[in-house]
Amino acid sequence: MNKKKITLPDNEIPRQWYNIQADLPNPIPPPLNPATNTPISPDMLSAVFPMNLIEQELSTERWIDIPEAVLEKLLMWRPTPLYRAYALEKALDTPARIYFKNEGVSPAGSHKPNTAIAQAYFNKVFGIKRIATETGAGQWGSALSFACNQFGLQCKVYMVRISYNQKPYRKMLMETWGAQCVPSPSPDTNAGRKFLAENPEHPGSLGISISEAIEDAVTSKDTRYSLGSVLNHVILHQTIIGLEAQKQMASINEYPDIIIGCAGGGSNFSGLALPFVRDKINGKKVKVIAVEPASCPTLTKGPYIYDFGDTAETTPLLAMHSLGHAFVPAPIHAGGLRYHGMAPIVSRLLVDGLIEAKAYTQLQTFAAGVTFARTEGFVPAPETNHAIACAIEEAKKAKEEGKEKVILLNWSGHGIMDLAAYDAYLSGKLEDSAMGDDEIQKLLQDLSKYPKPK
Amino acid sequence: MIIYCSKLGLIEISYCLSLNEGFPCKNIIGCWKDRTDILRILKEKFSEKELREIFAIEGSSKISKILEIIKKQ
Repeated sequence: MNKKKITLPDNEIPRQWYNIQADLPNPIPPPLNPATNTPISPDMLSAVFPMNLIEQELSTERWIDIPEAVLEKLLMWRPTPLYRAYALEKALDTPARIYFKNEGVSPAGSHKPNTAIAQAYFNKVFGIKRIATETGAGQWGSALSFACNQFGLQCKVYMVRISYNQKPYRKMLMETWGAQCVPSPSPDTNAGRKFLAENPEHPGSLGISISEAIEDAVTSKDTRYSLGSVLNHVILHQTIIGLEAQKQMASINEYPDIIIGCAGGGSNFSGLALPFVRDKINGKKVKVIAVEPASCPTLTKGPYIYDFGDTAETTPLLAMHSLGHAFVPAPIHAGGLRYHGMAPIVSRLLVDGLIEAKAYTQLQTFAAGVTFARTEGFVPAPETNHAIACAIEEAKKAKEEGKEKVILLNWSGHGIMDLAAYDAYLSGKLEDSAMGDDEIQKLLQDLSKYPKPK
Repeated sequence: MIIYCSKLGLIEISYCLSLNEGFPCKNIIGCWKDRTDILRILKEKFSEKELREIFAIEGSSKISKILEIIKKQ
């Protein structure tokens, strides 16, 4: 019988997180205070984050110990199983061997609790009693609710009202773990009251929810704010995924040729990829792919440049993937094209050629998710479908080339709470959206004069 | 018409057109341009000046948004 699951015993759970900042060939440009154009000071962040997490944010130590109390909680679902996707391989008739790291087995159903548990712990030991956060679709809110419950912290989640109404099960999940989940805008903050006064049925937005959560953290006693993506310490906590995967692959004498993860804020992609990127920096041959939606092709289409934040050229120059502040002739194109929000670590790795990026359309990703569900059984989260679409493409390529590639993907979460999206796809209500190459080419030409970060 | 937004789940175009205090999401063109004539819809609903203002500012990162809010507190 072939081995389907590659597991690690509890006592082999990694005991340190890996901090890639120690190994980067080029350091990440620091975030700048928009008011002064100088690097953000730890003091500024201390209004919303505990100092022990800020220290991790700025650390360049290669290995950071995982406290025993955090390990104890992580053992509830970690080490997560690594699966060989035999049925998917068979359906694709590929010589490739496809492995997926199942992060959907966590209590909240995604990779998010890896950092939620760590953040709750570090807040707790810093003396914080209560955490406020925002959530859009509800994954981060669920993960933090679970983590706060584990460490006896109160948790308040401001959930964008349009999602709150659409996803009652997410709210119920948070409340089951003892958190307070309110639709945002809420009557509980000045920011929320302002929007409710204008429109009592305001559907909310992520911007409003962030404002409410931060106002809550800054104005409430013993309260801090927590973020589930983008920041360095979040990515650090997620590296346990890749560290486990390295041990699991080694235990069956495999090493991946290709690593794949979907990239939104960049934390699940980085969690799997960074330990392997370290190998790559040290000479190992491995292809690492971050996958993003074609409707928002920041990494795949935008060059890494210093660019102004606005068309009036009044903001500081920022090192970022951008499609340019002066996109002409139609300025209204710019917003949709120039959106960015990728973790600085991921952007830097792309620039340095350590990773590459690919984009897939909405329909391609849902088709991949359905193929996965109908072969491997597990229903993936819509975000995870991006990684699966890429893995399927690479497996088909391996077939064309007649090569036995080893593909490893991060199966970042299950889609049981996202069945409405599958229903929309299966009933033909979702359609494709992607950027036109001609527009992008014109744009890149316009951008060639911009300075490049070193 | 609906779309799957990775930040919020399934949403309708009417939400994307108005979520920023009555103004559209900065990602609206990228998300909708191949599904509908989004430029025409935007031009019908908003003046040229409004559109320039809406899309003039770079979609801010979460961190710059947080710093901006801290400053205001």
